[in-house]
Amino acid sequence: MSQQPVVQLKHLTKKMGRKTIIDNLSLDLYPGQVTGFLGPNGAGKTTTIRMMVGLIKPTSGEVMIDGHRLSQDYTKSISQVGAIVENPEMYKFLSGYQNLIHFARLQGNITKQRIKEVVKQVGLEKRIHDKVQTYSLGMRQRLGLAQAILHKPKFLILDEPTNGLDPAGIREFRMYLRKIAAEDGVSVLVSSHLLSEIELMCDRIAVIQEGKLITIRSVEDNDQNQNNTFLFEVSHPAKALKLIEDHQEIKKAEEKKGYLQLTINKEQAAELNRIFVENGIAVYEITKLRKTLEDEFLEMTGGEQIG
Amino acid sequence: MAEMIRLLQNEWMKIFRRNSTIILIAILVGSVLLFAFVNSWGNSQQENVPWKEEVQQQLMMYEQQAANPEATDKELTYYEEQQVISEHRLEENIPPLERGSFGQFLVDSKSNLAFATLFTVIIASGIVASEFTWGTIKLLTIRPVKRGKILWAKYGAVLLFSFTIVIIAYVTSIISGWIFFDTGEGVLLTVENGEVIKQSIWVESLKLYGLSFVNLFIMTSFAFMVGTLSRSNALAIGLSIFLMFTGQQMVFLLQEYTIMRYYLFTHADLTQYLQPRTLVEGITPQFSIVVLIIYLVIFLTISHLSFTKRDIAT
Repeated sequence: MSQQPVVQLKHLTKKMGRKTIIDNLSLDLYPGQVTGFLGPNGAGKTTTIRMMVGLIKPTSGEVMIDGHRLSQDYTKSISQVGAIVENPEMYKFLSGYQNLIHFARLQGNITKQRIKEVVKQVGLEKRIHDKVQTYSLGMRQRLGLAQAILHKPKFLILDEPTNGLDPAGIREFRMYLRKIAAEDGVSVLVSSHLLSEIELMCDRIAVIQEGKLITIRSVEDNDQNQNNTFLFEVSHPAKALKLIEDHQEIKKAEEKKGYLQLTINKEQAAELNRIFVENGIAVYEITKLRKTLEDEFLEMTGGEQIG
Repeated sequence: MAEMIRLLQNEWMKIFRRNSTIILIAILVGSVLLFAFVNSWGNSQQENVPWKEEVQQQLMMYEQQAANPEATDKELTYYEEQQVISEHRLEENIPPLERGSFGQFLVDSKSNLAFATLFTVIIASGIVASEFTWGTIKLLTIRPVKRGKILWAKYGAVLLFSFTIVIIAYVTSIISGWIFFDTGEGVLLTVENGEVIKQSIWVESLKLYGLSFVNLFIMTSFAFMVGTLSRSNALAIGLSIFLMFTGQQMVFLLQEYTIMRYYLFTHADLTQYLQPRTLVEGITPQFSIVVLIIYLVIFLTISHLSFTKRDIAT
């Protein structure tokens, strides 16, 4: 990565009493990148996010945003951050528009024109003058996004952003995120329960468990996995299994409920298919079992509940 | 400065866009009107004693009180002044404010400030605590504005609200006074530099409102602190109202102890200096003001530290 990171977490540690909630966590976030933030319940995701926006002070370590230290230059660093922390909780007795006016006044220098523009972007034009208490969860999410992008931040933190959105809304949201990341170079951190969502939305994922960062990698890595699990449905599984015993390259092969389960790459799959057919074994179906982010996540975190 | 005004606008909007605030103000206006109505009805049921007889009786009472060997200097001065005023009335034929007159009502109407205090305390308790209850604190504080400034804007908004509500109470009292009472012929008298002079009901009522406002202001600041510290609306309202009602009782119970000289509620009610006796003997208005300022500084310092230093983890 040639670019300078927008956000740097440097050895963040948070202790509450004797408990270490976040343990020496370091993470760089770059412009134009959408990073998924995953971890089981109680892993410290929310605490980390809260430290990034200054709601919680770290016991040690530092958060740098756009070159400023959050603990020293709070107003300068936070002016580059837009966020939804947990639920998009708004003032329910105010209208959506009044909520945005409220946050605009806190940001300073935001024109009515800009508010209008953002309302249009998040698709709330029709209901913006209604009270927030009449909004659905999806509409609140949209309003939450609106207040987060009002001041065109360089860094956007979104906690469970698709919660309550309908499928069309989720898709729209995903496109929007990709767009601001690609066009405006915004760095986005998304935390979500929906791993399939994260897979579609993010360039990178960061997984934390028990307050420690356990993995950080690109989402594409997933497809480059050399070996995959293939399922072959064949007419004579036992015979087929015997045939491939001679093949040393195959690391794992077994028969399961009339299927052959093999851990091979796709070239080998094609090769095996040819061998089976040549030896008079009918091949009815070949299925590649894609390893999903979910499987990986469960593997990495030891099968704990996702949160 | 421009920023502070924007923050105040925000807080003001959040106070007045809520139905509950509007209901509180409606209750205040309603209760002042009711107070006026009940007052005027009550007076119409009473028989009028000629004022000279009444003043004569009072004069005798003052003389008795002044002759009491245990009376303090302060009490003596008070009763002597009252004697002078009563004698002056009889000599010059100047009636006192009649019960059921506009003037007397306006002077008595400062008791409505109990409601104003209650409602301001409710607003002050909630202004910080509600942000925590609503969860909006997370969106409020992640802005390029220092937390301290947000807190001061909130305190400023509460003070503006308290002025507003006292002004509403005063104006409603004037209006309901006009509706329910006659002007009357009575005149307020007071002694200044040994001379009896006329006192306007406007000056007198503003003086009473002003002195009572100090109590409201202190209770409001206290509620503001509890709300900020506890981050709980209910606790702040509960504790402040509890103290509003019991705070002064403590003074009566424990008045022999020296420590009560430094107790908040010994000083919060400054109208005590218009009476012959103060809650605790030997305190002066100057001393009260110093004690109140010290309490205020403590309340605000605690609020500030709590709001700016503590993590927001709810």
